Amino acid sequence: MKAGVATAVLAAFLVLAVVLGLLAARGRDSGAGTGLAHWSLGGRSMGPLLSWVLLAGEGYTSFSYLGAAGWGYAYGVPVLYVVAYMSCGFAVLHLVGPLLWKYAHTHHLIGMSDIVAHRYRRPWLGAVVAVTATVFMLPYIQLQIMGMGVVVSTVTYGAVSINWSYAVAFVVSTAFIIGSGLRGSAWVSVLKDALVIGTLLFLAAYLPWHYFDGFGGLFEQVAADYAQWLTLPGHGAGADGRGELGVTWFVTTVVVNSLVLMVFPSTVAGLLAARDADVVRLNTTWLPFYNLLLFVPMLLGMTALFVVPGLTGTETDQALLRLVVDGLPAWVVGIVGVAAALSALVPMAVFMLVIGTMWGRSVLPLLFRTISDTRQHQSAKAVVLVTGAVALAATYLAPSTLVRLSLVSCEAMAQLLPLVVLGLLWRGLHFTAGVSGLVVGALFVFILVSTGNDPLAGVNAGLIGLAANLLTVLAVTASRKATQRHDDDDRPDSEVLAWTRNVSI
Amino acid sequence: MPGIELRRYRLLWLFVPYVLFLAPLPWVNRSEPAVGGVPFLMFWIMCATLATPLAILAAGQRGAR
Repeated sequence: MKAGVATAVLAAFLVLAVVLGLLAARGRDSGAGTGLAHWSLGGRSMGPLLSWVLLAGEGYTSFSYLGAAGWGYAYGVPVLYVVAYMSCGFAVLHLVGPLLWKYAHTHHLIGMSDIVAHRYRRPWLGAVVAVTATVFMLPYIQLQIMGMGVVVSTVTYGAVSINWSYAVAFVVSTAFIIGSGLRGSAWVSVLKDALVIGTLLFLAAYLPWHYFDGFGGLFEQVAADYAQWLTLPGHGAGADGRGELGVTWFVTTVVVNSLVLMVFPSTVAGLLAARDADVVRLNTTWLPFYNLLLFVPMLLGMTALFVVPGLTGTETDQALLRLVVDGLPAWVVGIVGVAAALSALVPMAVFMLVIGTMWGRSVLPLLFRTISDTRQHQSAKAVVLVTGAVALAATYLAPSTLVRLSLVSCEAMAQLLPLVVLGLLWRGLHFTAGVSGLVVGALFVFILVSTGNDPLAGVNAGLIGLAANLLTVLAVTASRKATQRHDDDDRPDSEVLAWTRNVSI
Repeated sequence: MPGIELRRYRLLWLFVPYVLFLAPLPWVNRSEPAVGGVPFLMFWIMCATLATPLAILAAGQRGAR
């Protein structure tokens, strides 16, 4: 009976979300902007609200909603790195975002791979970036599938097993993504953000009083029974072969992740789809306030320590929902499930769109000489389907906690920073240097992560990779200078770079 | 132009969030004193989060309008 109510609420809202997505996608199709650019950038016409929810992107995915609670449960305060890096990252984006927007707008570029192809005047390099970024994003897509799987399994009170739930999550999300496009996703994002904020505030106002004497009582209890959770390196340092989540880890992770926001697919999509650069400036100023709400899942994770003790490994990601199941009636479980499910569905849709767009624009045209816009659009959707299937396979083969998956994805993405961002500011960066750096950096991250050495001596593997990456870039640049090789690119700086000395910022 | 130079110095404000969140960690990484019941490290990170939009605002790009 309980499962029936909760499942019905979840199903009803998911249908509503898909319909809303489809309607929003169709609404503008009669206009001039159809095809790939429309599907992916929503016609580059988004005002503050839509751009806001896209930029907030990672702020409220199942990573933060379920994952932050999971890490709050498993480790405690180390998970606050999310709040710190999002705040620092928006400070960086406040400066770099408008530059990227202007660059893409001036040269009619619709994504990161496109930007790279234009910067280095080599279409194949765009294809390389598209493929690389797709691989780097796989853990993040796996994260969303796993998050949604947790929801389906918990909301049906276990009637659907976790393994079947992953498959359900894959089917629902792929159908939604292929149908809706960015504008559709952005509108469902508004619904998602409203639900996420509403449910988090409600849970924060209710659960600590239900189980304790309010937040004060919660903190006193945690300090008494779980004091390790309240300071870095948190609880269970060194467990799971993960090294210590101490101050060094916190600092290095915040630095890497905040920089990664500049190349992170969902934020880049949010930037480029904005109506103008001022929308970007406005949103990057105020978005950090939004992060305050991220304390809530962590605190709920700590509350769950007392209510559903004994969760380990990937189970910790169920902490928040288990708590809700324990303390609230079935229909509330259903609504919280909806919020959590949408927080997986919408960001995943945006990631998939970015992947589909990059392939449609940068990879497929190289493979097929003549390709119609419709055909390109269809192929992009096929790429989305394949990527989702690979992520689903990874879910079964290499499950991991949600926050862990996000960290790995960001560590890999960081290796694109020199080639993509530094290249837009520094004319002397030749593509051979950028690509060499990318290869070396990615190799470092891959080896450190796959051998269980992340963090290494407390340092985030992404930062170690980035350091190796930058050294390689400098070495290759120096050796090119020594052998006096010249670039064949004779375009003026204003055409190639996103910023030159005489442009005001 | 001096105007542009001055504006560029204001961009230094964008480092403030990094400084607030990261530099004092060795000192604020403690649960006591609890401010209004909130363990100190959490309290510190909350304050830094609240200060971030103000720092970005001070960097003074046009979006502040």
